[in-house]
Formats: sequence, C-alpha cells, structure tokens
Amino acid sequence: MNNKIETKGQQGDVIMRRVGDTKPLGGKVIAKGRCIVAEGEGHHIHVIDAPDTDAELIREGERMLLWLEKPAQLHHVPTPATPDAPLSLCGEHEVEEYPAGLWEIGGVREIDHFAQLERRVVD
Amino acid sequence: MNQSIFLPLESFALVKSRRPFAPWHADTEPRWVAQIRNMRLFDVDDKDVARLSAQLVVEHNVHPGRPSLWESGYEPEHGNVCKVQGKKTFCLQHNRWVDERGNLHNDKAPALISGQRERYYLHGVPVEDPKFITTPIEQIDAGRILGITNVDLRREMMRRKGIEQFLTELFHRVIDKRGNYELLQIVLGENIRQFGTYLKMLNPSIGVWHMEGVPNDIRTVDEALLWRNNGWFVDADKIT
Repeated sequence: MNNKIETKGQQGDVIMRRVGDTKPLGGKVIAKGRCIVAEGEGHHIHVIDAPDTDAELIREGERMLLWLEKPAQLHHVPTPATPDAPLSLCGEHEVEEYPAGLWEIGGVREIDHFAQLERRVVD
Repeated sequence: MNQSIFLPLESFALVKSRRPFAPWHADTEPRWVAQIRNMRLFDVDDKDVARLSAQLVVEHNVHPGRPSLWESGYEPEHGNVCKVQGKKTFCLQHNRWVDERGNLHNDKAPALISGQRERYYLHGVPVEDPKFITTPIEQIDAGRILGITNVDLRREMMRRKGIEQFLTELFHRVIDKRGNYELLQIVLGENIRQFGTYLKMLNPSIGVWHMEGVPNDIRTVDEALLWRNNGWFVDADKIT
C-alpha cells in the first residue's frame, strides 16, 4: 500500500484537505481517538482509529475538522457494533495515510438531474 | 461439551450473545461476514419476534433478545457466523453465493437464503428491491439506472448491464475527456433540450465505471471535478 496523502485526499465520497499545522483554539471536540469522519447509508464508515491523544474530531461552526497529532490511517470499514468494537478491515476503499496536522473534512456532491436537486453523494 | 445449533436468520438474530471470539478475526474474516453482520432485519416484525423467542426458549433454553446480528462472530472452523450462549454455539443456517472477493453476490437470484428469508446483493451492495436482480438486465432501462439515488447500487447496476451497453441505450455525446474521466451530456427527456451532464469515472479501488451528475453549465472534466469536490481541488493526491 502506498496511499500517502500530502494535502488533498479522497476516499470514496469523502474528501479531506489540509488546512493548517496547529490545533484550533475554538470548536467543539466531537470525538477522540476513533474518529468517524463520515457514515454512508450502506452501513460503512470512514474512520481514523488512533489513540485518544493522537486524533480529535472538532466541529467549528459549519466545518468539520480533524486534528492529527501524529500520522494516521483512514479506513473504510463496516460500521462496528459498538463504539469500541474491533474494526473489520474489509471496506471497499483502500486505506489512506494522512500526515499530522489540521484537516478539513468534506463530501463529494452531485446533481440529480431527475429530481433537479444537488446533494451530497451517499454510498 | 460444546454444542452447535444451526438456526435460520430470523431465529439466529434473536439469540443474545456474548462476543464469542475475542478478538474478532477482524483482519482475516471474509467480506460476507461483515455483510451479514450489517444485514437489515426489515422483514422481522413484532409478531415474529414473540413467536420465535418463545420457540427458542422452549427448544433450546436460550435467552432471547432484540433481533440483531451485530454480535455475530466469525468462526473459521465452521466457516460461518456464530453466537455463543453458555456452552452452546449457534450458527447461521444458510446458503450463500459470493463473488471472487468474498462479497455476497448473485446477479440472478438471492445471494443469501436462510429459512424463509432471502437477501439480494450485488458485489456486497445490499439490494432491497429484488426486481433489480430478478428482472433480466436487458429489460431495465439505462435511464432508470441513471436515476438510482444510491451511488453504490447505481454503479452495480451499470456494471451488471455493462458500461458499453449502458451508454448505447442513452442518447449522448462526450464533450470532454481526460484520463479515466469523460464528461457526457445525456438526453433525459423527449427532446434534446432536456439533458443532464454526467461525469463518467473509474472507481480505482474496484476498477468499475460509474457516473455522477454535475451542473449542466459545466464544460470540462476539470471543472466537473472541482465542482464535485466542493470547490476544494481538482485532483486529490490519491483517490481510493
């Protein structure tokens, strides 16, 4: 595996961009350690599984941020039964490696020409 | 002595279980195991739950719970999903069909049959409406496939039809191309003014084509990618 990301990552319907080197002062910490960055309707999640000290998911207004104290891997895996259950490593997308820093999390979007609306892609 | 009991899906789901195998065989278990664990039990109603729970108590002296497959563990020895209660091991009685990657998959019939329950899957993607699978693919209109909301199911139905055949059935033109990307205008209505612009791309993880809609005023692949990626960037360092 050599899926090293430098500043711009994409894993399926999730996109991430590096936005800084320092932890934000504001915002609300949503999760530490195991950070679910996105959940699709197909019962899969995109998740960083790190020690509590190494990863934080932070909501800052409308933005969702991920602070990585150390490099971490982003997995695409079936939703675990409980928040601390072992992850079953058989998602559709390969693992990506993200360097330490502050990352913004977003999703890809599409136009449904039949319903004539814009929406976030769900898988 | 351990006792193995095979149960159909609806009864198996009711067996309360401690986590049987610690840790799970998380990195070695086949893909279909997680797909069973994630299975929706939409067709097991309260009446079924009451009747089957009573049956489990009487026949197997089991403590029943709410229907759930989450606690199912994978037992390599049986090649099956199991739950454990006391000295009893409960296994899922089922027939399954899988693809070469171990995903539940059958493009003509259910991919899993257990008791009275049938579950349909295309390469691991659950298909709740069996008509997508039981209807011969040549009878499913490409426009109907393009209108499927869930992108995974849309992709799998395009794969089932074949991308060449899929595009043959749609009146379209390619307006830009770059690498594995193509920007297409596809006629969706009865005249050419009713069209949709779509980005055709290759899923790099599984090597399968799919298409997603972009605004009709977009003219290039790069513009389409930038719009799709929230205006953040055209190309990621790596896409998986």
